[in-house]
Amino acid sequence: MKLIQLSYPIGVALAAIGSGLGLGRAVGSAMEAMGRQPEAAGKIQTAMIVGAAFIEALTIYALITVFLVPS
Amino acid sequence: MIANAEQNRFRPTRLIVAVATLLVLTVASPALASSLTTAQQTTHASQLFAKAGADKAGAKKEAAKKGNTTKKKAEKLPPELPSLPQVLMKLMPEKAHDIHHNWLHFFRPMYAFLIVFFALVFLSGIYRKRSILPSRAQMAMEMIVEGLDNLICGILGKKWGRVYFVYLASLFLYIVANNWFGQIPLMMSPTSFIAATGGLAICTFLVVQVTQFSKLGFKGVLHHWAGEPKDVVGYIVAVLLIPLHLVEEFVKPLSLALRLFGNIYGEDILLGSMLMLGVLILSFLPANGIPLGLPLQLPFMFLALLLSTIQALVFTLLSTIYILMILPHDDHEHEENAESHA
Repeated sequence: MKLIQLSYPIGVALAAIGSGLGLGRAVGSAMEAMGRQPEAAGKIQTAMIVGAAFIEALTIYALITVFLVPS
Repeated sequence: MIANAEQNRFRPTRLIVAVATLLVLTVASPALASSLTTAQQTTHASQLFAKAGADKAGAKKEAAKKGNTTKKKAEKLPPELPSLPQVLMKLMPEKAHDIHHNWLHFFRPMYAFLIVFFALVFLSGIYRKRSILPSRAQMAMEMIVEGLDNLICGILGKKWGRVYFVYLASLFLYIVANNWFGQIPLMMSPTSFIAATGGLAICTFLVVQVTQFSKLGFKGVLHHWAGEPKDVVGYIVAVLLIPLHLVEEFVKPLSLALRLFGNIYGEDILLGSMLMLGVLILSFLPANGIPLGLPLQLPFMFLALLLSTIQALVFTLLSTIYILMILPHDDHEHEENAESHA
């Protein structure tokens, strides 16, 4: 096992750090907004889910490269 | 109405049988998978060796197309749940080469066709027997269609929403059906194959481009891509904005395809890894070559159902928003968007 093969998991881990921070901010803002206006909770929840899928997609791109790009 | 109450009572017998079958297959799949991965890898490896050795002319094309015709990749395929062709390859090893060559390659597109066919048959049955007092199936379909109608017309507005509802609602239901179909044991989702999601992204790309060029005209499109310049500074910045927007037009469908593919394929691999973990946990037991395993992948199957629905929703919403961006809308909103681009 070469040491260079460690680069794939480390790359995915770095991408996961970024998405963790981004998702934390997004969901935190959504929670705050839901607390301010509970009657709009449904719409906020939908928008939060969609935003979370966007942010998660960037980590998924990094994950794809591990499986599609041979070493 | 009261006389029908006895017949309309919900009898869960078929549901119980279906759920029990699924559970049994889920528990049995660790055994299948751990005995099948060697079969899959050896047959896959032998297939690749045979292909690579047979024709030198096509070898470069295949290597460029697939990217995994090297020896190392053939030995380290990411783990996946077993599928029906692999089970048959294990049961009938003398026909394994035929099954692999003829069936496994076309497995996923064939299942896409089967899904659409049976879904259409089922849904047309509901539509033909519709009445003012709806049955359960009709109520379910009406709920789904009404929910999609609210979603799409809420974004696109009443007039344009009805026009594009046909494409967008079909897209959502198709992606959801594809993704859910892969969670049935021994089945694979067609969307875990980059060609299927790429095809869907190309469909969205075509819809958006045809709408754009037919509604605005070629000069209108260039004007729109340049951020609708109004003064000299606007025209100077337009030189930068047009290539940016052109690249964006190609990147947006690509990101759609990769997002859906990555999520569904990643879920498959997650299930496979959890399955391997389940087998690993019980590997201390002195079984005589019979691999037992805890069904650790059950909660991840439910997670896969939820996440695949969300991904279908995201795909549909993004397609809706791409269509919304090119339809005639207020200039006030568009200037804000142009500033956010530049």
